[in-house]
Amino acid sequence: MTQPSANPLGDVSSIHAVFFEETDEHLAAIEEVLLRLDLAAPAAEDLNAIFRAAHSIKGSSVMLGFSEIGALTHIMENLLDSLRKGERALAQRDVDVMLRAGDVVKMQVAFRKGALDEPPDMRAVETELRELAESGARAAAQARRYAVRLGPLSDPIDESELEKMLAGLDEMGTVLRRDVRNFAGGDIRFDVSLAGAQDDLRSVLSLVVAPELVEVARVDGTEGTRVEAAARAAEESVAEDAGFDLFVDPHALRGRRASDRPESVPGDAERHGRRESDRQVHGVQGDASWIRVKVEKIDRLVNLVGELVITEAMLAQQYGNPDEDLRQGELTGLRDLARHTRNLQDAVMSIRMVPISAVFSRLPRLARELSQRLGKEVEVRISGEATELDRSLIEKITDPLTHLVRNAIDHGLETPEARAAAGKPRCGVVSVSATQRGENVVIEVRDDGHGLDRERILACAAERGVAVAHGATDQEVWQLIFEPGFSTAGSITEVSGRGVGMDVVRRNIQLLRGNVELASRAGEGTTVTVSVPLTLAIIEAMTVAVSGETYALPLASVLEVRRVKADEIRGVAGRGLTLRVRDDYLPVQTLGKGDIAVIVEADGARAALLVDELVGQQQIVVKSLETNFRRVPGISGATIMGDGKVALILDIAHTVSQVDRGSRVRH
Amino acid sequence: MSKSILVVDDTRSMRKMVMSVLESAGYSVEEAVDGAEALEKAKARVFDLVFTDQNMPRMDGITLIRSLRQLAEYDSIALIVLSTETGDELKARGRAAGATGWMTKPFEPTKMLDVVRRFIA
Repeated sequence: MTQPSANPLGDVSSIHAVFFEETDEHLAAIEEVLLRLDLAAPAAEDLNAIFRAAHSIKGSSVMLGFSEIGALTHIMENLLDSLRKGERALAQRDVDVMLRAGDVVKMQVAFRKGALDEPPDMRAVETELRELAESGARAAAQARRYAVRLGPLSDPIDESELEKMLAGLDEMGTVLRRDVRNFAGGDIRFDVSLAGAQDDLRSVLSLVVAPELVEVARVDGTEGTRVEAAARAAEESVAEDAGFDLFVDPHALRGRRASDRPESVPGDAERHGRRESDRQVHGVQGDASWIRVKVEKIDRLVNLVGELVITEAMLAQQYGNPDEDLRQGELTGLRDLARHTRNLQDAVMSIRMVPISAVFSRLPRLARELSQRLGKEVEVRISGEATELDRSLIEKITDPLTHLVRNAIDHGLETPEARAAAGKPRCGVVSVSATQRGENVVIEVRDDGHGLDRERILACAAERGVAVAHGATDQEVWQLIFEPGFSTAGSITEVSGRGVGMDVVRRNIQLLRGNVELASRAGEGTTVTVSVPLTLAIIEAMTVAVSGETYALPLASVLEVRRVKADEIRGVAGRGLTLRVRDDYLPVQTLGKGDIAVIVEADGARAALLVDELVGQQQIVVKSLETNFRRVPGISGATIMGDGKVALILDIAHTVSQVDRGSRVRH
Repeated sequence: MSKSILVVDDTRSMRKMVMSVLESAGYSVEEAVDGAEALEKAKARVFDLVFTDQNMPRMDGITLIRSLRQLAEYDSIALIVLSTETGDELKARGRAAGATGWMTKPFEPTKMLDVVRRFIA
């Protein structure tokens, strides 16, 4: 063990202070990620984040002579590495033991700081952690890995049969990397590693599909060598090798000319590192018409195409002026470039499209568990699961959709007894469907329960002091459900009453530039319709100028544009400025000094935005402001215009609600 | 004029340790929190030597070294990986990317200074 002698590190106490502080931060981050890990499908970036935090703690603690902390974080690193490589599936126990290990490190830090009198006992957790870390490598080394494909399916497999089969396999071994496309024409693929024979595997699989649809391929031994290498690396102890490998002689380095650089071919080492992922071609010798590609690669492609679209727009703007002295050939070239760019963009975006079955397939299980807990009977009917959506949307729509289905079962459906009494079948039906309409995907969650209770909603609104016009239409009354914190549930149930209401669902959908609508009939049920755009990366936008800056407005929310005369805008008592449009008075938001009014709509509310000038209409590539800068209320993102300048994209829903609230407050 | 060294590591305490060792020997030291920031700094001024961690967010050490070797100014500058990683495969990747050497953490401060003296006076 290398121990820095006689403090050549200088002021050790100030380094200690930094180390304690950053270790506490790392531990908090580890805990936060561990608690939100999805056991069934842990995100690679989450595992990486924990790995990196443990890695940082290890490095510094060993340098500072805190060998107990170094030893524990080293084993944790090994465990994470094994999980990250998929040698073993993540289990609740991994999370539990890592959380405990984090606690022990925290106590160790406290002890080193002098805040604890005695060091914590690390042995128990260290033993457990080591056992977990080694079990992955062992399992991977012993088990054989098979790539399984069931299909092409003529009909979807019964969900519960499928779940049962996968659960059974999980008991025999470990199911990895599943890709369930359970619909007609789809197939189900997964890898399974087991110690047993291939014949046993086949016979289990034949329980759910006809034997001729079962394809099993042994994944070759390369996995094994990788595991051995990993095990070897794990054996090398933290401190054994404190050496220095010299790759280049210092004299040679000094005398080297620019012509004889080392093998610094760009991407060389990358290729090296990525061989692993490239090998993830599914089924190996199975079906050659599918390949699995890392998401990052596709994202990179999308980004590059985005840049290309911007460059193309720039060229078009520069030479698009008919006065420009351009030869016919150049003009044709530009037009071709525009067309090819557009086609390329469509093609690339389509790679990111994923069938919504990725979300839908979880719903039956959710419904089963929920209905059991609530003592209800429910049948989930799913349709349109082959409808495709941008991958990033699939992730973001999962929570709201899950919430809607929960709501439907918890609040929508009656108990079997109540249903029987009302002359309905005891078993309620929740239908979930998806269809593509133009540039949008419409998802419907429909239940055949008792429907929304108008009187109860009104009573609840009155209780909360929300004013409702007399003779409000049903549609207006249903909107109240979207008010923050609104709940009509007689009692707060364990399932839905956790403070996450329809307002959160709507806000999440709005963040995706989508909207939510409600329809309900007493005694017949409720239908929630969610509409979201196919993709978030590129939108059709209207660009306007305000005080010399360009802003973009999503075209989908623009109703009309008109020039207004000064006397059309009036200050109505208590409502701020309003613009009369036909028979309606719209609240006005003055952005610039101009006389152009852009009428926009969001969530059924409209507003007029006054801007200086209309610039045009074009496709824009949406860049997140949050990732590149920080979140700004009223702004949903940014884009790069043809002239290279940045234009902010207005968040219409936010803007409309602001002017709307402004006019309401002064009632 | 003292020689300048760039220290790249995402761990604050590790940066501080490396810096205090190097500063104690009279070098002028700058720090960067990851490969991406290091690349920016290295483009703004040429350092006489770079120590970089391997495992960092945004840009890792090997990628940093490969990027630096593309710059004419860094053609003959010592770029040394300072990492807890000891795997041969990774070292080979570092070497292919143009790393001058690979130092393993935990390191002996005196050894670090020895290594530095081999490359810069």
